[in-house]
Amino acid sequence: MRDVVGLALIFGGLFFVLVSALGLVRFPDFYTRSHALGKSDTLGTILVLGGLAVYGGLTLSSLKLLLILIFVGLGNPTATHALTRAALRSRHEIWSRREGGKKE
Amino acid sequence: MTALLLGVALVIALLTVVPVFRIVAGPTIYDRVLGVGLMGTNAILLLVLVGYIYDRIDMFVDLAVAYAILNFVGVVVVAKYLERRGET
Amino acid sequence: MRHRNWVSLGVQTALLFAFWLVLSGRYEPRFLIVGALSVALVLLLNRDIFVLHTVPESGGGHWAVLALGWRWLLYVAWLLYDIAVANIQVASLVLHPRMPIDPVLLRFSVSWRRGATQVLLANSITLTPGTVTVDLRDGEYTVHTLAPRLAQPLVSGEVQKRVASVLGEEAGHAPAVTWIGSVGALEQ
Repeated sequence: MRDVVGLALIFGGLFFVLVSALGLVRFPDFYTRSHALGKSDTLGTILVLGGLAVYGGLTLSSLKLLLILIFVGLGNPTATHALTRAALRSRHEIWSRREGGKKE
Repeated sequence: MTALLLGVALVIALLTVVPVFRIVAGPTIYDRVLGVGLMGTNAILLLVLVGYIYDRIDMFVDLAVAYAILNFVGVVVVAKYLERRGET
Repeated sequence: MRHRNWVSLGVQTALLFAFWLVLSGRYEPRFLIVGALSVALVLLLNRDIFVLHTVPESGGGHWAVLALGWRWLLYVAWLLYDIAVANIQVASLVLHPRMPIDPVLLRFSVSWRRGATQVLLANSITLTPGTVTVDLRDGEYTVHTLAPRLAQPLVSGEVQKRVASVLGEEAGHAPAVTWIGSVGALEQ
């Protein structure tokens, strides 16, 4: 039972890691790509780590996995924010459909 | 079960090609740093998965904790530096 | 300077010590002593943010920190739900063959002055559907969104209300939102 739940979480997480990788390729500019790291990758990592913690059962290692999980959940959005802010403050322009811009 | 985890680890290892592409192709320095960040989280996942596959999770999870902290601090520090410098 | 809240200090000490126990994994007396010393050192070095600033300003007495913990749990549950929704939306945008995105910037302000609330809102925005906080200066947020319709909960003030209720701030009414098409237009 625990194995099944753990595996389901791991494969769910794998899907979102996949989506974030695809997003990094397909999105047209830096700001849109940062959505891939700030959201999809965060959730993907949280799900995979959570799944492994469920699979491992209640051990010290699983508690450490939960710590990593919390850390990634707080750290990834913060890092994304720091990067986008640096880009904005050095006047990096956003991609906009209205400008008819093409992919960078 | 180990075989399944090995499969997941393989997929994530293959996916690491994408951030590497982003690091090489750019076009801006911010894209490159974003690629490094994504690679870092993938590396955390790989470390933990390898720990389960080799049945040495007690050791690998400590490496993963250190990597998670380093990855976060690294990206934020580079972002701070870029902001000070103020150019692409 | 506000008075010290001993319950809050106790909760923080317990959390830090639990953190030590999980990371160390050894329970012989000398490791526990080193741990206790480390916790004391961390609390001492960070006394400004750890001990004083987390005291809730309005009412509730010393035990208010426990109520704060409960509101945190509710908030985290809501946030997890929102993260799930956000990711399904981003996934559908990424996987969509024509990728129907229409990125714009939007800007609004909050009246809160406390750093903790402002940071919490910034991280919540980044994790919720289609929006990433780009800049935060004196309570003025600049947000990048993949499509204007995805920013609806921000425009209506729903996200702000949630965050305000966690840390006991004034919720206020729906914010005045400015839509900005390009970074160049931001300058004026």
